[in-house]
Amino acid sequence: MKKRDNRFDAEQMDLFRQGKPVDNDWFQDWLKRQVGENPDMPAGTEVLLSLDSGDSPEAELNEQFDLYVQGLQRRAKGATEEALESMTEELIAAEAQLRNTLNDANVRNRLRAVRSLKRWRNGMRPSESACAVPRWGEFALLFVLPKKARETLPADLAQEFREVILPKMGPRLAPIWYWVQVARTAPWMWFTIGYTLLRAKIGLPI
Amino acid sequence: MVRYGMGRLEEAVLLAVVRLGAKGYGVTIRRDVNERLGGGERSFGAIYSSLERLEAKGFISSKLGKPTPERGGKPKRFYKIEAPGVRALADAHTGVVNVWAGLPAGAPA
Repeated sequence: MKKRDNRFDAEQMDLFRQGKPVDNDWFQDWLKRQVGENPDMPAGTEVLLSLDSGDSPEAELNEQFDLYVQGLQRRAKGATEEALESMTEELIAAEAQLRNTLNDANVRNRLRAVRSLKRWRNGMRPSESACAVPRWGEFALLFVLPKKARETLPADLAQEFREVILPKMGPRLAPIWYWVQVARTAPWMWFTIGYTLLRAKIGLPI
Repeated sequence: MVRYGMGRLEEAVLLAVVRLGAKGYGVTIRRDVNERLGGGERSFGAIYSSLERLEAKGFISSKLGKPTPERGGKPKRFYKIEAPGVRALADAHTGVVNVWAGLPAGAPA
């Protein structure tokens, strides 16, 4: 049974990495595991987990505001002029609060994270998928690495990218980390291997 | 005859190979080295070139594992320490102990 679960898990993970639609229950479980294992997972994951409707968080906030306005309108019927004035002030303050909430950097980040996670859930093309390793970076590595490292180093880099960097840095910064690794890896390898061979050839300690 | 020495990074990589045993491959070795050496992250290039050098010296040997779907069908390269590596580590340890020996009481250690 465990083996079968593992296989299903591996299949779903494979689909997920390819940016194809995955089983919704599996995705929710996977997200929960990510949150549990990585406290640095982008804020907003919990929001996504708690959202049952397909609406975006912005839509939800706007909907709440509309309900509030409708409530005000009901209260306004038959209200005195003084009460109407105070309600208008209340409405202006509430509108400003809504605008501030939507403009707040933390809220924006949360919304962005939720949007990004929703795109993962709904399945995306690999080039757009936040969890995909930069293809051009992988391609570049094949040209700059010595033959022996070509098979294993890109896979190690991709593993670190998916397991550690992506949950820690998020889908925006993680590709930058990958490219920095590509830039740091190639020259170092060629230099040290060349240096070692040269010293061995002229009989110096290596 | 070519003499073999070891830099600090190579020593840390070789010790990581010993410590990790059968689980020692690029990712785990890099994590172990970064955790123990501190002072910034070592790139995969630095770790791999140290491994290449250690292999060229005959201190370690490597073999490819089975390809796994988690790594896009690519295998891991597992490393294992060899007899010259064990001797080199013993020499390095003795060297450090000798260098630090004989300090007066109260000296930083």
